[in-house]
Amino acid sequence: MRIILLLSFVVKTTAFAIPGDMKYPVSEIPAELKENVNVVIREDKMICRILAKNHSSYYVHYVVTILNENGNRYATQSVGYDKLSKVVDFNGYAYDANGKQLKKLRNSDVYDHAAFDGFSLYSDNRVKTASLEQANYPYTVEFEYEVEYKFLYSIPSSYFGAEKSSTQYAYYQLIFPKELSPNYKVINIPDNSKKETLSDGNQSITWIFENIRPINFESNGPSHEEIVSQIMTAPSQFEYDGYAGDMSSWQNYGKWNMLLNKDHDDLPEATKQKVIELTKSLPTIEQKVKAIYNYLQSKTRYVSIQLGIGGLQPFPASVVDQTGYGDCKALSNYTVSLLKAVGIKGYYSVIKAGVDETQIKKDFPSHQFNHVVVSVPNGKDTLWLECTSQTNPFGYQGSFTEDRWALMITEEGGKLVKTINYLPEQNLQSRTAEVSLDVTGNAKAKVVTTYRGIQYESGGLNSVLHNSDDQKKWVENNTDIPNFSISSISMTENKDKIPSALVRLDLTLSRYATVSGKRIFVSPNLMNKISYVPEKMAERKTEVVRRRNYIDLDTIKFSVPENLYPEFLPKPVKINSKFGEYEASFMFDASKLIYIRRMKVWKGRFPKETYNEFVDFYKNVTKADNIKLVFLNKT
Amino acid sequence: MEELKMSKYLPDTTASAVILFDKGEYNLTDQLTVEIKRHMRIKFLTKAAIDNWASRTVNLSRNQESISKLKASCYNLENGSIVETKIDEKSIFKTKYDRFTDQIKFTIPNVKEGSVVEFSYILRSSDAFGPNWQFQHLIPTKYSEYKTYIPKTFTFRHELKGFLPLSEHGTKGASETWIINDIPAFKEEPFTLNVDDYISRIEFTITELFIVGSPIIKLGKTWPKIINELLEDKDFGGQIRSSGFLKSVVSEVTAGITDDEQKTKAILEYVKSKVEWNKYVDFIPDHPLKKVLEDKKGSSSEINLLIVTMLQKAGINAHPVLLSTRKHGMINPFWPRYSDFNDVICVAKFGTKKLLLDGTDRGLPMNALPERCLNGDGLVILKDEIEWIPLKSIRSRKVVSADYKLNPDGELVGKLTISREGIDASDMRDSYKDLGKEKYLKDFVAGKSWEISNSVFENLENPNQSVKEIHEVVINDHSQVAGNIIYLNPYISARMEENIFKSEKRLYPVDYSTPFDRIYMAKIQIPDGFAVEELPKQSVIMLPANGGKFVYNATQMGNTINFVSQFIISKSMFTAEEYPFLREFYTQVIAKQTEQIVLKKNQ
Repeated sequence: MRIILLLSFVVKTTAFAIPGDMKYPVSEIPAELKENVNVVIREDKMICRILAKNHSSYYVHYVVTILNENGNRYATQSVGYDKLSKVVDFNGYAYDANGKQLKKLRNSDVYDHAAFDGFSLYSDNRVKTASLEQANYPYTVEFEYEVEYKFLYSIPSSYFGAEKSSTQYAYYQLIFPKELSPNYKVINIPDNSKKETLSDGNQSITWIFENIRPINFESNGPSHEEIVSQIMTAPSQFEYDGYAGDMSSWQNYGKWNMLLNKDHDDLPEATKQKVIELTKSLPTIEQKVKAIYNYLQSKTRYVSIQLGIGGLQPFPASVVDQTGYGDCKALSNYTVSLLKAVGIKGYYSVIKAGVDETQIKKDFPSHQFNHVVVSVPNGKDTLWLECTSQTNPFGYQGSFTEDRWALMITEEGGKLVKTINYLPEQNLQSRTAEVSLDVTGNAKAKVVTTYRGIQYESGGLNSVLHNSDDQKKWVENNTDIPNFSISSISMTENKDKIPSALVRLDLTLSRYATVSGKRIFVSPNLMNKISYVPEKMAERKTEVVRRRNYIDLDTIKFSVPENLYPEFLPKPVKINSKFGEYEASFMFDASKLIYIRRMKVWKGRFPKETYNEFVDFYKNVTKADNIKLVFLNKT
Repeated sequence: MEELKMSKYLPDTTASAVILFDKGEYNLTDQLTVEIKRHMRIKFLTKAAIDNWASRTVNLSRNQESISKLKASCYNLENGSIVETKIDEKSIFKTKYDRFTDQIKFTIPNVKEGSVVEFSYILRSSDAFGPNWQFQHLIPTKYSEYKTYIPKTFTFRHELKGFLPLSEHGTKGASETWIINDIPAFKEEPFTLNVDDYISRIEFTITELFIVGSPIIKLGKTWPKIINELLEDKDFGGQIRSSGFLKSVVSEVTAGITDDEQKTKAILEYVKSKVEWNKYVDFIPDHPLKKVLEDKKGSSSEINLLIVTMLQKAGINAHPVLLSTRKHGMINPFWPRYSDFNDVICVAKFGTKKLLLDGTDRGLPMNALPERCLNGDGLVILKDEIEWIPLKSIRSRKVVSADYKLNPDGELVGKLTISREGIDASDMRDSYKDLGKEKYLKDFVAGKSWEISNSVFENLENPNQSVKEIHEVVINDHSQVAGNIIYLNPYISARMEENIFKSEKRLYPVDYSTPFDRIYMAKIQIPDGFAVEELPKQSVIMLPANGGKFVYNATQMGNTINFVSQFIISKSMFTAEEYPFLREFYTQVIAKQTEQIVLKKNQ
């Protein structure tokens, strides 16, 4: 789905003056705004109008000075529209450093094309794009456009500040009739709103901010969404293509979703009978749901088709039943219909999907989602069904939708429900390896690894389990050994709710140990070395955010030629910190070296004061992982 | 039925789908309209291929091309009998993609593991284009058949690309048929120049046109003809000859210089500093050179023809050189045609000395070409001569020298100097420019626990000198201390950690674009009270036929260890037959690079 842009009928501002006038000369930018940035946004003006319950518009006046070539992307503007919206006006000008006009955008400079999101087979979204890129820096571009919508659904938020960009003047205004007063939320910036009644009787709320400095993001920190200053806005009463709704609460927003899906559960009788037949002998709800999920996976596939109503309404179940394909909405609606046929309540649930995606703003009911799954309450648990995959294990959410709030669409309206949070013990990678070394340093290794929970997705493992050609590539890319050849690979999958994959490898390691004079150097940590240390920072400004729980367990047994003995045996390593636990031990007995490593990592948010401890944790782990064993030859 | 029951494709048991047949029929009419019939059947063996092969997109030129008789069905086996699902109108989407292109997209219903899918359509075009055909795809093809009906009024020349031989080839009247059976899936490999050079396909170009009552019109080209046409073209040769406005510019730029090479350098630097490359690669300018100089922005042809023109005005023997970039594929020297080219540079001749010049990359010195141009030979555009000139550049070279002191607790304190030439230098300059000093340094130490107290950069803006970065650094976690022994790997940087060549076998050549050197030197001061217990042995590893070598040498002088390592690749291209040697070479080098110096405390 997409962000829907809004609004219009704005009185032309005086921004476009007579030619010959110097406009936006670079000399007018305060010096401190030019420090450490690629662009200075001279004016970022946005006016959002609610004209009626089903009519809105959105006006933008955007002026930006580009200081060097890294800022060139700001010279291109894209405006999206579709069948229910149109771009009323699209003007643009480029100026040199002194403010002399270099170019005026003509109609033929605007490239009008189908919006291509990279995965949709069909979408009726379109984009107008224009570029005013110039060769000499600095230069200034000015864009002005308005988009009119024959509906009211979402209102564009305004973001203030970005990396490597400062803002001289930002203006955000909401204009609306009293009875259609929108909701808003001011985030990370003081709410200096000015409220007034306009001469035409409409209400207006305006925010003005000046001289906003660039944002600096820190690695292992909060996401963009959490740090950036923002005014989030959403309508209260709204109507989209004849479907009226109300966003004053999640409950009411859910009711509108219910309305969109109404009568879309029209399964053919034959299919109903088929699934009843399929499930009637199964004793538990979970088994029945699983049988239906398997049926879905064998019958359908994912094809993204975004048509009408902003790509928000699913195709009816009857269409999916006939064609065997659909997008997340259509397939989820189809699944809910199949469940209904056997008397099980499943709920269409909208969610913001994506690996490491941030949480939705829970206290601000609005359209914040991009995906749909199905949830099935089962006693005190909830079963979650990802309906767009033909291979996903039943009940497994994975990194795409785990640990976040989803909006369950029920008859009583929307209900926020938290998805599964996988614990470290569930995201377990456990490995045993037997390595036999010869005196020249070559080795043979038998490696058996189980990847469980989220680790089952490690390097895309879950997607190669059914394709032996890709398996070889996966092993080549995910085996952290300097030189190896693969003798055999076997992969087996355990499709549990906490799924796992068992990977067995027979490898030939070429010169794994280094023979240097009378010494032989061996790296006991066969293939799970951490070689990453977070950057040192003089002053950490944001908290440390860790996004994944996991445990890695490695037991590596080396058999070495008989006449070798260790020059020294490293002491066991034990590292404990808020961020995780690490243990490594080295044992040598009768030509066998046994190395055991266990690392547990916690996800969570930690105060910024702990940052140095975080760096130290990885520093110590890296050092421990790099310990080499040295063998001497007795003879 | 048999196809529906099939669960594995025996010639390639890892295949996720197989094209059972792929038939094309190309029909050219005397009116120069074209009709292409396409008929394909695909068997899906696993779910993996469904995403890519159950939907198709056909791009059509608006008002010129159309599709008709689109039929598509999916066949599944249900309870032992074949069930057909036909595509309906709702699953066929027509989009206006942009001003010139329409897109027809369709997706076939009910495709699952085991399904057989079949589709056919007729594409009509009022524009007679070459009837090209691709035999090989990313999944295997059991049978690929291509038929052409070309009236005697036309003569086409064709070229078969890739490594697969034809299974059958026949001519019958105006029709010609090409068949290949049992085509393996095309597999991409790293360090491949251009996959299009290796995929099995057939390409056509019209060479002759015969209209009753008039002599044969030869549309085919010869090299002299191409050269002459370009020299006559008003945007190409025309601009080089005219552009009188450049005379005064040239005399200004070369004022006081007598030596031709110095003049050349001055002109090249003038163009590079005045005109920024807009990242477009082409061989015919879109804009007059005057405008290019005014706009201070231009494509590769605009910049390089500006250089040719200015050099000629300065009385220097300079000419354009047409080439095909690495992404664009190889040139067939036996088949003269424009479509093989996509870029142009300049050659300047001083007696027998030839200098290849390009003005698009500001980070490269005068005698270096950007990586994209390093692809076989280029054609010199000079009247009445056919000269192919090898597109070679200076070696890429990276020299790391470390000068550091080892403390008894294992800490290293010292200076690291990295110096780069050629493409290495250009890449470094680009990334420094993109990132800025702060971010560049951040990336430089990313993931390492190094502490850098001071950094200096030299020659960032001077492409004629090697670019240098010098860092003062403290490293804590590099050496390993165990009791009274210290183990130390002499490489604190520039060590290869893993073999880039993972696969044991290779089908296509390895292409590095340019030969390169990686030199690492270290001067290590050992702590007082320690003695060298063991130094890694000197070693030289050679690739066959002077393809490259690795030299490793550590020597002790008092309390200093001098260490030198050279990794040299002397050829830009290695054949598939040479690949095992190359892979083994990397294996041995990587192993040697893990060796440690052992120091022991004096008792």
